Amino acid sequence: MGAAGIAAYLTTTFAVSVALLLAGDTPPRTRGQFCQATPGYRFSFPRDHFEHRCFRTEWWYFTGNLTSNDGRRFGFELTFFRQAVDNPYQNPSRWRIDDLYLAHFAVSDLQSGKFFYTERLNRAGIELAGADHSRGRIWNGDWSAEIRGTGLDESWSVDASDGGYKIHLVMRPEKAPVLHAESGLSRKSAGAGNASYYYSLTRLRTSGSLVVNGTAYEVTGLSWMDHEFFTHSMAPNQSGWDWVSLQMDDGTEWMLYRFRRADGSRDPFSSGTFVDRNGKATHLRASDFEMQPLETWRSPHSGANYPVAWRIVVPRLSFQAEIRTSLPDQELVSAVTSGLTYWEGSIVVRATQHGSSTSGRGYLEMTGYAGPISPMLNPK
Amino acid sequence: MLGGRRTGDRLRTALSIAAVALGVGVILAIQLANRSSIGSFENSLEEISGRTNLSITGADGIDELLLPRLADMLDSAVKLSPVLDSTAVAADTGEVIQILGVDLVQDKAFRDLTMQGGETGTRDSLLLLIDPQSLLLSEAFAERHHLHDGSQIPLLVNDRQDNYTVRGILKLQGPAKAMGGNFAVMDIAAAQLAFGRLGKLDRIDLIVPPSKLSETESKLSGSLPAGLRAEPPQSRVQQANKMLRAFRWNLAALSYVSLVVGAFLIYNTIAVSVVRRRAEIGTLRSLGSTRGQILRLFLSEAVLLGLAGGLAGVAVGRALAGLALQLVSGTVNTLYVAATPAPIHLDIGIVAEALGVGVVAAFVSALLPALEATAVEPAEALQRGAHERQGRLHSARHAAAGLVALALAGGAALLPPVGKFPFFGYVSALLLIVAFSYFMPLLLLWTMRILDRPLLYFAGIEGQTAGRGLASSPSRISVLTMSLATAVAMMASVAIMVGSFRQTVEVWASQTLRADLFLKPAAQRIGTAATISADAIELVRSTPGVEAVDPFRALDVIYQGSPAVLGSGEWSTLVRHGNLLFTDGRAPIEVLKNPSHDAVVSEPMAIHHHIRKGQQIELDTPAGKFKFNVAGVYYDYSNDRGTIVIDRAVYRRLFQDDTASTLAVYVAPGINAEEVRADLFQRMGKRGYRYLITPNATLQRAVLRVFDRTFAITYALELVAIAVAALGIANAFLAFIIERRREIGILRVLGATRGQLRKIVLSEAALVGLLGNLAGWLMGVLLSLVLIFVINKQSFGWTIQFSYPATFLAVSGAAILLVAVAAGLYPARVAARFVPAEVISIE
Repeated sequence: MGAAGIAAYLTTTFAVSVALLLAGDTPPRTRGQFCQATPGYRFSFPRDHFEHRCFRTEWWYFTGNLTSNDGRRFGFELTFFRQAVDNPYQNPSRWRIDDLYLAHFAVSDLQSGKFFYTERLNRAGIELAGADHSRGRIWNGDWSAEIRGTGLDESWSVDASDGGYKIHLVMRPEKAPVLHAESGLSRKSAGAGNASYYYSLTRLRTSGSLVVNGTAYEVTGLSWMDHEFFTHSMAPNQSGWDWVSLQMDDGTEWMLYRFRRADGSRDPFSSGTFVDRNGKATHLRASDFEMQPLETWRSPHSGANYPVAWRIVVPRLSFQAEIRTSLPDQELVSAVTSGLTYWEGSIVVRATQHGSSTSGRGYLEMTGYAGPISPMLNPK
Repeated sequence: MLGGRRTGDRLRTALSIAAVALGVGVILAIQLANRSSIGSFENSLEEISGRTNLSITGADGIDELLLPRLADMLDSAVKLSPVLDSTAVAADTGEVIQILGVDLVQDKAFRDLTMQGGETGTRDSLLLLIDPQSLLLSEAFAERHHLHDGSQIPLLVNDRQDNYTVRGILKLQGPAKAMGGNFAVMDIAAAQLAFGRLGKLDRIDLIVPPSKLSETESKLSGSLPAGLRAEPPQSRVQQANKMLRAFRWNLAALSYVSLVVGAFLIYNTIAVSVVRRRAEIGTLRSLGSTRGQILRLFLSEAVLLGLAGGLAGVAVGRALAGLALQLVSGTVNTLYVAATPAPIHLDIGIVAEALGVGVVAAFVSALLPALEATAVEPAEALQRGAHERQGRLHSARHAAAGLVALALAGGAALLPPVGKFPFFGYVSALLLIVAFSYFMPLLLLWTMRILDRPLLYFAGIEGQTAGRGLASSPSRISVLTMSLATAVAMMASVAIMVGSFRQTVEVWASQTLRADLFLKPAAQRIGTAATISADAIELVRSTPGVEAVDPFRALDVIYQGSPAVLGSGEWSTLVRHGNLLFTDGRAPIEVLKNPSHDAVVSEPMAIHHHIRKGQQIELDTPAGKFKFNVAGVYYDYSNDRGTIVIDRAVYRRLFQDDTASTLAVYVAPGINAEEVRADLFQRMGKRGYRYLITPNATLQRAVLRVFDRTFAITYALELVAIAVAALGIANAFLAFIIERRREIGILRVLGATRGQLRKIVLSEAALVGLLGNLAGWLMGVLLSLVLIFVINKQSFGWTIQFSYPATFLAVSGAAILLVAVAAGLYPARVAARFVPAEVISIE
């Protein structure tokens, strides 16, 4: 599902749906009129890997668990956000702002228990940031994810660096893009259009190099890519969500998220997807699974209490799992975007499915614990 | 020793100290003013640069598409920031506000743009980014004008006036302190639109990790387009300093004149002291003191004088600095860069320097009399009544030395400048003073010989006695007369130079400023780059009654490492309607024949860069390097950096710029320019344009007003030098009277009345005044030639036609005579009070 409630809370202007959506392409945005995610969209790749400026909010989310040659374990996160700005002013300058681009880069050194993160905000400006199909590239400054080759040869080159931290990774998808929910239309709350288009690359075979605090490692592992775009999604009474991606050693993957409501009640729009070894996806409704917090960790940075261990039960698919992390402090407190504080971190999972035990790794994301998420567009 | 035993001595010491104090004070004041005048420019630059350690700049900005190319080429650790750096004028108050256009989303790494009250709301932040008429305003300016978040502020930007919305108040830190708080920030997109600079940047600021600095610099120097430079931000201060160098040096040199006058005074004081103490010296010598000890004794006295004067001078300098700064910064702002002066800051270094100058001046001027003191033999102590042993005057030797100094002065005047500094010009001026110092005793003797009879006839026996008295001690009286003559000469020379210059500029302005009306954008100030849009030019052209318009565009450029101005105008219009005065006397129509390949250069440009007619010069343009043939050199007094003028069509093609800085409007024959002016105001105002439209006569007057303001500081310096000379005269007369008390005593015994004595002393003062005036005037004319044809020409590069301000010099000469007589009043009273018996008994 991707991080950060950021944009979801931003929708102060209500756009008119102009969604006459053609396959694999969305119309350019006309001023004040954003598209809405409605049924009937047909994805087309690689075009749909890149930006859909007709929608207000869009994000690309690369996370993964990596192991170095000498067995050291790491997690990483590289996220690109695009947030449309409703700009009614006439200004032909190339620096005119119609979208803001935010990016987060985090590395979890699981062995030493160190968590590093940084962020950047840009406008499109002159090639400063974007997600351009014709260039096959999603980028913010010199952080980028670039697609190479097509079909079976498709791979992603993912790069980011900041000070003593750097990733240079090549990711080969082992499965086709998985469209979540109803053919990629993921409803977030009641009402037409309160939904996103959402797909994932659930098994990206990854290799490359990782520099942690100045020390370089050759690494291999598995990554996950989420791409989601929408104009409206959550309802005011949804206070946050808990999201998890699991990559099991038996070749299957899980994606589950649950919304939390301000009154503590169960939210019917929680959802999930099971991907079997062959890449076939099964949509899970809110009633199909349970997520129960096991332990909480109190953040010294924000004071928020995050449930950093969970029990997950999916009776329909005879699946039971416990997820835990060896590094509780994987909280990101944004400096450029006030109030954007969330937990996003590497986890390990032990599970049984149909009676046989299995294990895996994954990423856990928890939002809305450090108070209401205030608007993103707040450059200090 | 300093205090002396008599009131007269104490007063003399006080006068000497005061003279040194004034001399040192003026030097200090000018130094402080020079340093502070663009201090705000330096500080502002520092604040505005923030953490930038390399900046890419170009004459007419930079194509913004260079930015992604640089990002690709440079190391990823190098940060880049696009900058528009411009000025606007607050429409209500006329204050100039520096406006920085930056990428507000990204700029935090470069500059501290912290806002009051933390952050603004999302809505305001967004509007700041997208509403092109938004800005962040410095706390200082906002408080002064009671502006707050959400206020509207009307601004003149280039040739338009618009309302801008304050979207936040910048805390008074970092760039917000620049320009004394007259500072605002806009988003780069908004700034490009507001200043008509779409697609362009003024600078690209870089933060380069120190370890990669040299690598980055060499990478850039090899790959930047022609006309762009990568330099540390401080080099912009260096450019400004370079531009101001000649102005500052000459001001500093001028400020030393008071001290030179003061030095004569110290010489006099010490010399008298030596004479007065011959008996004491003799006693000391006979008691076993060595010559070295005697030398040290007198030099210590001088050093103490210098130190006391220096200390007082620091106070005087600090007090005068405010006035000096006002005058200096007025000139700097009118002619060089827009900069509010920084507060005057007195640091220990500058104080030490001032003290040092005072002490060294005192030491050097005391050296000669102190050496003379060492010649006193012990035996003299026994001769009671030893009085001034008049040094025999070796007339021939004096004349020869004077002639040698004069010849050397002439030779030095012919030597070229050192760098751009007319070092030998100043040497020549000093040698002239030395020459006159040698001539002075001879002059004194001759004059008194000639005046002996006339004095008797016009001023009676007292007058004759005065003249003879003066002639009896030519060395002492010469020093006294020289200090007056030096002050007079300095005044006369500067007056001649400034008068000639003013006359030259007046003639030049009337001959070259031919247009009926001159238009400039309301937001244009010196050092600001406000422009006239192409639309506005068309509007002026199409106004009824306008026969021709010559749009002139001036760009600050760097020519071979030095700041210069690249101008462009319509040559065809210039030939038909306007005028330039070429140094070879040709008319514009004979020179401006080949606009596509030719350029003309101003006289300062030709002199500083040794450019001759027919030579080729190469200019960096956005379209690459371009060669021009120099078709002529024209007289120009508008700036001392130098101007290159090319045809507007060529400029537009090379620089892709169709704006102008000023418009010269020629009205059709028979049409009233005043009516056209009113019509222009109305037509342009209706479209939101804001212009200053100046009729020809007003501009001519404005040129001279600027001129006078520029030389106000020079006049002020002169006044101080004359004040020092007046002190010197009073001091020297006092010494002279004390010295001559024996003669005066004898005169009393012989029956002279108090009135007669007073008359004698006043006559002496008048004679010294007359002689000082005469010698000073002669020396002044010679000095003015050095000033006009050597010092000014080499420093600034302009030709000045010599003209003699007769009335001014006659009036001031009379005034100086009065001052000299007035300076004799006190000694006259002292002389009248002598009790003869007491005076004689000393003998």
